[in-house]
Amino acid sequence: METTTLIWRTMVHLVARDGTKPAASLSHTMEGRLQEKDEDSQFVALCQGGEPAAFEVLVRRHQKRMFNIAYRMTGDYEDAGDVVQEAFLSAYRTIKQFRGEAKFSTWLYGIVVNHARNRIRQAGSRAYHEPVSLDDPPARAEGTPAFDPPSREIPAVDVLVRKETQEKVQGCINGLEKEHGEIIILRDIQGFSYEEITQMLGIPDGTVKSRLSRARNALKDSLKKVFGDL
Amino acid sequence: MKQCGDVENQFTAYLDGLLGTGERKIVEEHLSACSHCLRKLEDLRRIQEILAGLDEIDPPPGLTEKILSRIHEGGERKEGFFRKLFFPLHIKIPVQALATVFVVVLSVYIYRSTLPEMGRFERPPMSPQVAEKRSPAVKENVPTERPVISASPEPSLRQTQAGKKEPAQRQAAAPEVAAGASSAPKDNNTAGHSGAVAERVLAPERHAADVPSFSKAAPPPGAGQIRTRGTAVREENSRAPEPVPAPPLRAESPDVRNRIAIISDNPRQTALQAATIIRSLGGTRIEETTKDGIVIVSAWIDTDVLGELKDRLKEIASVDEPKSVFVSGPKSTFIEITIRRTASGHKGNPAGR
Repeated sequence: METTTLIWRTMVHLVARDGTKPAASLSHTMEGRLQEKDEDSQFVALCQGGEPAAFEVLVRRHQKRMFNIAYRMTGDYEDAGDVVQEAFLSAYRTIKQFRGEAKFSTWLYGIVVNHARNRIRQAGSRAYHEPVSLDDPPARAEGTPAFDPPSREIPAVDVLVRKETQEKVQGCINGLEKEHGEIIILRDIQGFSYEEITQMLGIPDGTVKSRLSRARNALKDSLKKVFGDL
Repeated sequence: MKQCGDVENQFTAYLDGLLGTGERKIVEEHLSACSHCLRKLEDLRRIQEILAGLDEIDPPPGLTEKILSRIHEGGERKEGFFRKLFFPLHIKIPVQALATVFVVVLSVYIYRSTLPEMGRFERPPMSPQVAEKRSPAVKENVPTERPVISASPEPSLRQTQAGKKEPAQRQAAAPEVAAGASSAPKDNNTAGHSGAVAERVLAPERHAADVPSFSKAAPPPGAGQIRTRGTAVREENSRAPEPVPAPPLRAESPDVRNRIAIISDNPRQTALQAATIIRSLGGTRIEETTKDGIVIVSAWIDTDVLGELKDRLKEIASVDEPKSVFVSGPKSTFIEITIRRTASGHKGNPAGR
């Protein structure tokens, strides 16, 4: 009864916040991280005790960030959706194996990274790893991602330019080696700490640093080819 | 001053604020003097800004519902069955209880279905008195293996082969002999009939056709009946003036279903008369053997004429009613008529016989 009340309150709380809690922005503050950790632990415990309703809260809380990780890694909007679904399904099935050594969100994002890797591997014949050519600007007839417009006051031309720029950057990221791309995404786009990346990717801290250094230099070269002068 | 390569290696840590004060100062000193490295660092900083400025992308509408429905699908498949069974109590009582009941029911069923067959192989309970009376020599003659019931039930064959100790022959031999028979004279009789044995060893093929019908159609012998016969053996032995060795265990086999015990002054002549009566009543495979002064006439006869047979036997000699056994069975049944000499005519038999 108590757990049901707790879930209900949390659901009401989340729905009142437009259903999609901005987990990413909340995680950027220390207070937010602590709060997030506490709340996750609570619902994770409920899930582990056999309350599937509690998992819905975790889905609503983390799906957007997971989707962004998946999208940046695969470069495909639809694939990203599939990856997130598979990752959540996998997390739900194995949630009892989560022992709390790391934050639940770290564990969850590690899962989505793995699923995105698998998706990239499966689509090996597709041009995930081909560098973007200036002559072939990325064109998306369908499945175009719905970018959050920075402001409604920005002129339409600027929005289009911005969108095109971002797609080119995305193309450059996807043109990097897989391990370089994912570490750029986790560190420079999603803003995870070195420690979190270490836990997600299962690599030592020194490797994170050296890999990140190489990845940034590689991306710099790639972007210079696309944009000329940065 | 540090080399450019060394400083460039520090750029990542520098940009991420991971350098200590001393290291940061060294890098900054180098940057103030090296425009090449400064430009590289500015590029990296610009890239960081670009990446950090990438828009957050909204997931497709309905993604949450898709995720939850897939979870419920997977969960239903797993939980639908297991939760119903286990969740109410969080323990596996339902399955364990079901398994226990299943095992018990199966055991009872198997026991009941094999009971008739087991009854055939069941050894009649041996009283301690009988066991004590047995001499060691007799015990040695007692076969340790139970005879196979599917062997020919013909008493003569069984009897003649009872003296042989080869396991194969023991298996083929059905073990029933008359109650009260001792093992030593039996061996003598067997030796005396060695010629007949040679002929009858080949007999199983002749009777093979009867065996299945006998074993299948015949009702399972009641355990009480077997015990009654065992008790009869014990009573006879207790009445004997000297401790008479009990017949081999094979003699206690319940193969012989019908038995008529007759007491006569002239057993051999009575046996001839009995054989004639049996033949007149349609009996077949009439055989006569003598063992320990007891003449045994065995035959296959129609069950319906058993009563008439008994009545006609009463006309020629006195029938020992307590020792006579009739059981219902198939149409054609095996009968054994044991003819003993009256007490005055045979010193080995107790008085009153």
